Amino acid sequence: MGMTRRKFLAATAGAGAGLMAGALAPSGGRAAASGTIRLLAHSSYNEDSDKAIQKIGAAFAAKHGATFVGEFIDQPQVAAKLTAEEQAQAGHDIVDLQDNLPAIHREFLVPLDDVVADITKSFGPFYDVAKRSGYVGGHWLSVPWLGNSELGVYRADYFAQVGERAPQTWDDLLRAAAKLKRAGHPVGIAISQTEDSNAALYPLLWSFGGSVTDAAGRLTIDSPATGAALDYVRKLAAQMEPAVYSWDDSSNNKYMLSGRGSYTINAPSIYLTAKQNHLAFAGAVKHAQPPAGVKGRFFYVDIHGWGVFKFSQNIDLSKQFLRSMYTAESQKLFLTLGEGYDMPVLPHFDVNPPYAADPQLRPQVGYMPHAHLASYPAAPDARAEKAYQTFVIPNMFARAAQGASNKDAIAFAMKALKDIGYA
Amino acid sequence: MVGSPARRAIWAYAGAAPFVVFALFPFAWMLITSVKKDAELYDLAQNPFLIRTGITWDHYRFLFEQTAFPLWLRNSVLVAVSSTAASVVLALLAAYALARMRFRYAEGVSTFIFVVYLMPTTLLFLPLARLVSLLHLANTLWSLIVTYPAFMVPFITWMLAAYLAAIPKDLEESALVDGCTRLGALRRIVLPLARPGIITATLFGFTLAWSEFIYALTFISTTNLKTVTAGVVVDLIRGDVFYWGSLMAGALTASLPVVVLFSLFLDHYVSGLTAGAVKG
Repeated sequence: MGMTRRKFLAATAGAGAGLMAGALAPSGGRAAASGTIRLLAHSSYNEDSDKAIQKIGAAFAAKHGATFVGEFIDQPQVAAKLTAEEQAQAGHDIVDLQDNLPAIHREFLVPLDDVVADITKSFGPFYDVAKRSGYVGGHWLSVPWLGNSELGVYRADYFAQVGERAPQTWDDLLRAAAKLKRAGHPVGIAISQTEDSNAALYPLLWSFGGSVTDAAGRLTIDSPATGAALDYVRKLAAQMEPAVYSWDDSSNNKYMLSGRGSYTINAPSIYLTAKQNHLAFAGAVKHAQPPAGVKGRFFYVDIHGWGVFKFSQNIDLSKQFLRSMYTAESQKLFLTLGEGYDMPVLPHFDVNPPYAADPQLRPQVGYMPHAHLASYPAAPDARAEKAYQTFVIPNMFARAAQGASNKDAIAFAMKALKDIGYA
Repeated sequence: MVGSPARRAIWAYAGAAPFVVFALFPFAWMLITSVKKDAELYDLAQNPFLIRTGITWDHYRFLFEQTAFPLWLRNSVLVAVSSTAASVVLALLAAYALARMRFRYAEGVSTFIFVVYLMPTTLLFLPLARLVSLLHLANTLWSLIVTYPAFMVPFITWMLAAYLAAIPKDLEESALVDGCTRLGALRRIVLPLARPGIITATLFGFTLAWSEFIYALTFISTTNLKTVTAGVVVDLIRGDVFYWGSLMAGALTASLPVVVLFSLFLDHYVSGLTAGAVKG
């Protein structure tokens, strides 16, 4: 006869009890035994980048009779994880710290001056922008590991169809955008609450001479330069699809990979995905440096570095592991498997990185010396991180582009920034 | 009249149809997206509700073979079942006390439980992280089994207290007069009568535990120990690349146990929700 509800439940309960007995038994997922290094990192676009770290860790563990456990989570979730571990005073030994995070978590981090001294003795100093992230209050609290660029990503075939070349200035882009919209392939830059929007709009603001603060951290957002940037984005937004106001980080990727989009600002993931999936138009996807404004060309970068928590049971072993990540072999492995999504933070390894063989990734060579963090021109701090995470600048541009006056849009940003703690 | 029952049925189904479409739309979307080829998913010119270039099972293959999805499902089942069982037992005793017993500050306790129920779980994860560390449960499934009742017990207590209060006291009082203990009356009289309410509250509690995210993310790091909510997001979103096909496959597959459970107990669930709607 057919299965009754009672029999089904009895059968599944029996099987479930067996599963539970096995899975809930004390296991290796507990607090790390001594000699185990646990590393927390963001999961890279390219899974092979994570595998490179795993390989370096495994090699180190084998050499030192230790255990290495690498755990990779989505970038937006790293901050929550760090805070929870600080509260619990337990968790990972080595953690991924992006941009402002070393300054924010300084109370919980071990100074790594000795590690950096050994690295720089072998390979020379880090890039200035990398140092700005990792060097806090007179100490290295994070050893910089990689930089992620934001380039102009464009369809060379669409631009050629409308008689344009890769835009060198924002005015070039605006002129091309009108033609591309008529041709059915609009440009697309996120003006929404997403990291891509920060990454595009901060350097745009700088290129018009505007900035959130001055070098001392005093508010300078209320300026004619900001007004000029707002006027520009208003015009550019009129040539884009309205969906840009609700894009997330994957949206501009989808837009370009669908074949509809003609230009965006992004890391090399669009180009690399098109190449990996053998999309028909992959050869037409090209990179250019971000457009220049009246005050020049500005490069935005995200810096990721490694910090060691003070509560770690394996501080010395962690430091030894960090040193092993900065050997020529480790750097070559990481940069090769990264396929160009991650840039080196040491000029020594940026002379001829493995990805430079690809002409489409060559715009990244020489990117780092001119790059800035989101807090530019001020030093990274918690306020800059809060402004970044609450998307004050994208929201300001979105208001202006959707009808608010420059005065109202700037007033909104001023209030939001003052609420964060700026003066 | 002939045709009148048929006409009533047609009107009933027509009235329910929009709600059914609304409820099933997410599942249809997930199913269609999970079997579409990547090239068609990226093509914005295509109709999202149609599959033009053929079905692919690659997203499911990737999900089950290249990620730890089966382990995440297992972990979710273990955590949800264990925490729900513990929470229902605790909540039933609390609800019975609140519904039946007169004691000092009973109203205050009831209000307190309701206030705790209203507290967002995201506010609790920091102090709970400390607690998990003190108990040496970090990065184990026990960290979730122990912490989930923090928000499940108030919720289930609140649901059950209302249900138990609607059961006539006379039956228990008769049992007590006949020499039954309070616990005996609870077990022999109240529980059988309260079964629909208990099942309803259990189902809601299970759904809460099954879909919880923030604790699963912060208390567990090891990939093989993640629950399905945290695992799917972590492994199928890499930077600015979302593996949409596999994400939808994961979301659809993960929703099936809850759907099956609700289907199995549909009659009790409906009865539990509507109990007290009509005064006897």
